[in-house]
Amino acid sequence: MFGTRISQRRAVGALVCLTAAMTSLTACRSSSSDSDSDSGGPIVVGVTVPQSGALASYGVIAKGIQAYFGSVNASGGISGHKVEVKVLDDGYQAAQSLNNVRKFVQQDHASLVVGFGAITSADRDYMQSAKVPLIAINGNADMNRSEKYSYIRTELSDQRIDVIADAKATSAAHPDAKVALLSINSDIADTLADGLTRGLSGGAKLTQKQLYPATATDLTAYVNKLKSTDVTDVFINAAAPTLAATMKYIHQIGWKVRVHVFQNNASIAAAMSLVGNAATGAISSFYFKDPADPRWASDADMEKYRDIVGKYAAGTDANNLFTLVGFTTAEAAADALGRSDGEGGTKFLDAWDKIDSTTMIGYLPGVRVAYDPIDGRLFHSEQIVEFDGKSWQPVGDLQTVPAIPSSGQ
Amino acid sequence: MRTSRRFATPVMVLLCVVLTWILSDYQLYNLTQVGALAIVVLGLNLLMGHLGSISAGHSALMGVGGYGTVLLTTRADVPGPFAIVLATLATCVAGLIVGLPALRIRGLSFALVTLGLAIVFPELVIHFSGLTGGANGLASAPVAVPFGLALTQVQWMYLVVAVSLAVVVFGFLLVASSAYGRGLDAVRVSEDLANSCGVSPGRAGVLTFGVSAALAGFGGGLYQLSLGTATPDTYSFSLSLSLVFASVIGGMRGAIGAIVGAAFIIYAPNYTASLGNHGPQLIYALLILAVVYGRRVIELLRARRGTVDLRVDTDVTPAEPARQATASAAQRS
Amino acid sequence: MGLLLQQLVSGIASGMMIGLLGMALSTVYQGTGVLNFGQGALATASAYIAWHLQQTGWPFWWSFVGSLVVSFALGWLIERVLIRPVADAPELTILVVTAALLLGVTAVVGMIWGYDAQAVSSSFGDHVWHLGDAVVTAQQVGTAAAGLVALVILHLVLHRTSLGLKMRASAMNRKSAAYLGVNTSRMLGIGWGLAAAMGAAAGIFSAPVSQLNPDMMTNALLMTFAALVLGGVGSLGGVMIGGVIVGVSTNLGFTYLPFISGDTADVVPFVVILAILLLRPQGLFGRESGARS
Repeated sequence: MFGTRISQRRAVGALVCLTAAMTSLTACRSSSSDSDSDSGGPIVVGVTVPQSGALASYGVIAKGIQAYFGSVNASGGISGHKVEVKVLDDGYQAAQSLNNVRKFVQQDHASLVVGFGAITSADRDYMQSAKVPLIAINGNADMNRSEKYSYIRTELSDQRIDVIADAKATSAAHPDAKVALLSINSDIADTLADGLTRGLSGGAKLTQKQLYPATATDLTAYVNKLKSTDVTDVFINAAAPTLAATMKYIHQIGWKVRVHVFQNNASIAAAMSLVGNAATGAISSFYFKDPADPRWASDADMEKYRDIVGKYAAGTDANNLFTLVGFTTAEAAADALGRSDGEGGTKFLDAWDKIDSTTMIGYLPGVRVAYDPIDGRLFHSEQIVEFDGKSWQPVGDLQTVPAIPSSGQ
Repeated sequence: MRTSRRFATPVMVLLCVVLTWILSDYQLYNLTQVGALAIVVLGLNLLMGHLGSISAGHSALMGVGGYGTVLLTTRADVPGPFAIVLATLATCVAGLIVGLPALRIRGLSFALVTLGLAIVFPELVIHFSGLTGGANGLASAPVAVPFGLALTQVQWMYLVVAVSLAVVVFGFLLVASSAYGRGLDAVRVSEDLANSCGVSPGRAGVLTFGVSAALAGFGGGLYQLSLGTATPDTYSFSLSLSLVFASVIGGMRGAIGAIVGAAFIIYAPNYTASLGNHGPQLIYALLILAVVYGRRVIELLRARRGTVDLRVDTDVTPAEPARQATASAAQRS
Repeated sequence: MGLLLQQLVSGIASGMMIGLLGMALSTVYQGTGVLNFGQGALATASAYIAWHLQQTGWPFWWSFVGSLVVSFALGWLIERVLIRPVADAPELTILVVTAALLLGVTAVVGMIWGYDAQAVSSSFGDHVWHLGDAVVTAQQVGTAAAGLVALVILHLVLHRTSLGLKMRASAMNRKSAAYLGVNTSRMLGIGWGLAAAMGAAAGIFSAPVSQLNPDMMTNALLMTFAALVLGGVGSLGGVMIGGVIVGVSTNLGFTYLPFISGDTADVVPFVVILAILLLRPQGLFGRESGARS
C-alpha cells in the first residue's frame, strides 16, 4: 500500500524521526502554563508589524517601541521589572499576524501585544479569549471600543475624526465643494467615506468614490477617471510612495484640484519630500508633530525623542512619522504599565483607560491625550494644516472633535 | 516485513493521540495546522503524483472549504461538523467545474488556469465583502469543546484533525491501490496507454480534480476552524505555491510524504523567521532548492543502479510519448 | 472620449511592458520548455541594479546598459547552475525550482535594498502632451517606443543573424540542431540571458510608474502569462500584441464594467487565459503545437 518496499521503510523511518524530533523539541505541558510576570521576570511586550512586503516601511514602529522601552529600562524599568520587547514580522498578512500573537501569548508569555494595521481585527478573537491586552495601531472605525472585545485598545484616532475635521473646514471655506475619495479598497475606505459624509455640510458633498486594490501602485487610471468628473477636492488615501507618485501625476496633467491627504501616510519624510512642487497646497489634519518638519527642529520634546531613538534604536530614521508613532505607543503603554505596577490583564486596561495628559512627547501643542470611553480612543484633537513646500503650517485653531459612538460589535 | 507494517500504522496513530496531553497548546496548534494541510496535500498528491496533472490553484479550493465552513457556522448557525461536510461538498462541486477545462487543456496550460484561479480567489472574496467580511475577514469564535470534555479548545481541534487525517490517509491508500488509482497511473505514463485500457484521460482528470478538491475543501475547513477568523490573504497564491512545495518535497505520491511536506511548510518558515533579520525568505527558498536537488540526485543515483524504474515509481512524467520513447530506449541500452 | 483615450494610452504603455516581460517568458519557454515563474522577480532585480547604478552617479542610459549586461550574465548563470541540473526532471520539479527562484530573488532584493518602495523619476523626462482631453506623458510614449524597439531588435537578431538561426533551430528540435553542429548547450544559456535582458528593460521602464519595490513585477504575473497565452508560442510580436491587449482590456474593463472594479483587476487576464486555452490553444499568432504540450 505504501508503494515499493524501499519507500515504505523510508516512510516509517521518516515518521518516527519526525515524531521523535517533535517530542524532543517540546517542553511538557505543565511547565508552560503559568504566565505571571510578578516574580521579578521581565515584562514581555510582543510587537507584530510588517517588515517585508508592500507595507514594510511601517516596520519602524517596532524600532520606536524598542527605543522608548530601552530608555525606560535604562532608568530602572517599570516597578523594578525590565521590559523585554519581542518583534515578529507579519508581512501585513492577517494569518501571519494571528500566528505571531499566538506565539507571543503562548510561547513568550507576553503581558501585552502591539499590532499594526487593519489586520489586527483578525487577532481580536484570539486575544480576547486569551485575556491578554492588545493595542492596535489602527484608525478603522470597527476597532473602536466594544463590549465584545474588552481586551482590545487602540493607538491613533478613529480616522473619521481626522476626516470630519478636514471636511468641516472644507465645507466652511468652499460651500459648494464636490469631494472625491481615492482610497485603497479595504475597510478603511468605508471609515473615510463615513467620516466625509458626517463632516461635509451644506452644499459640499461626497460625489465620487474610487477604490483600488491594495497591490496597485499605479493610480494614473483612477486619477484620469476622477479628472473627467467635476470634483473640486480629492481626498487621497494611499501608501506614501504611491501617494507621492499620484500627487506628481496630478500636477503633471495640470489638474487643478484641492488635494487632501491623511496624516498617517502624508508625512514629510515618507511622501511630501518626494513630490517637490506638486506638494504645495496639500491639506490635512494632524495631531502628531511631523518629525521631519523644520518647525520642530529645535523643539525640546522632539530633541528628547531624537536622543532616545539615537541611543536605543541606533540607525533608525527618527524623521519617519511611524517611528514616532511607535515611540508614543510605548509612551502610553509605559504610562499605563507604571500605574498598574507592571501587571498585565485588567489592571493594565484600567490604567490605560485613565490616561489623560497634555504633556506627552510627540503631539502638536495643546493636543490632549485622553481615553474617551465612547469610542475607546486617545485622540480627539485636530489641527488643520497646509503644506507650504517645506512645512505643515497650521490653518485656524486646534479643534476638538467629539467621539463617535460605536454601533455595537 | 508484514508484521512490522501492520504495527507501524496503529502505533503512529496512538502516538499522535497521546501527544495531546504531552505537548503545549502552541505546539499542538502547529501540529493541527500540519494535519489539516496534510489532508490538502494528499489531495494534491492524488492529482499531481498519481494523475500527473499540475495544480497551482489549491489555495482557492482550500479557500472555498475554509470560507464555506466559517460562513455556515457564523451566518447560518450550522454546527461545525455539518458545516465542514457541506463546505467539502461545495468544494468538490467547484473542483468538478474547474476540472472541466481539463478535458481539453493539459499540462502547463492547465497549470496556468489554476494559477489564475489562485490569484483571482482572494480578490473575489474581498469584492463580495458584504458576504465574506471583505479584507478584514470574518470573525469566528473558536470551536467549542463538546460534551464538556476536559480538554482545551486547542486540544480538541488537534484530536479532531488527527483522527480526520488518519481516516483520509486510510482512504487515500485504498484509492491509490485500487483499479481507479492504477488507471490514474496509466494516464500519467501515457494517455494512449490509458485509452487502450479503457480509461478516458479527460474523464479521469475531471473526476480526480473533484476528489482532490474535496480533500482540499475538507482540509481547508479544518484549517480555518483552527485559525479562527477567516481572512482572504490566508488563501493567497503563495499558499498555493507552498502546497506545491509540500507535495514535491514529500515525493508527490506517498501519504507520509504529504505529512512531511505539510510539516515543512509550517515549521520551516517559523524556524527561518526566528533567525531574525537575515533574510528568512531567502533561507526558506534555499531550503526548498536543497530538498529538490537532493531528491533529484538520489533519484538519478538509484536509476543508474537500476533499483528504480524512473517511468513508473517515483518520477512524475506527464503524458509525453516522445520523451517516454527516448527514456525507455535509454533504459534498455 | 477623453477618458477612453486616456485609458487607451496608459493601457498601451503598461501593456507594452507586460508584453516585453511576456516575450522574455516566451523566449525561455521556447528555448528550454520551462515556464519561469521567477521571470518577474528577475526583472525587478534588474530594475534595482539599474537604480543602484544611477544612485552611484551613472547617467540613466549607462545604468540601463549596465543593468542589461549584468542581467544577461545573471540569466545565463541561472540557466547553467539552477535549471540545467533538473532539465530532464518532470515539469513540476522545474516549476518548483522557478517558484523557489521567485521567492529567493525577491528576498535577496529585499535584503540588499530594503522593502520600502522607492519613487523613481521618469526615464524620459517630465514632458506631457495634450491630445484633446487626454494627457500623454513622456514616460508613456518612451515606454511604448522602447517596447517597439526591443521587439524590432529581437526580431532582427532571431531572424537575420546566424546566432538567431541557431537559437531557433535549437528551440525547435534540440537533437536535430545538435546533429547539425549547433552548440545547443550554449544556446540554452544565451536564451535565458536574452530573456533576462528583456525582463530588465521591462522592469526598468516600469519602475517610474509602479514605484520600485521587491514585488514590483510579481503583481503583474497573471497578466504576463495572459499575454504569453494570447500571443501564442513562436511569435514574439504576437506576445507583445497580447500584452497590449491585456493591458488595454484591463484598463477599459475597469473603467466601463462595474464588476471589474479596482480589486478584481486580475479577473480580466484570467478570463483571457481560460478563453484562449479553450478556444484557440495556440494563441492568436502561435504555431500549432509540436512535441511540447
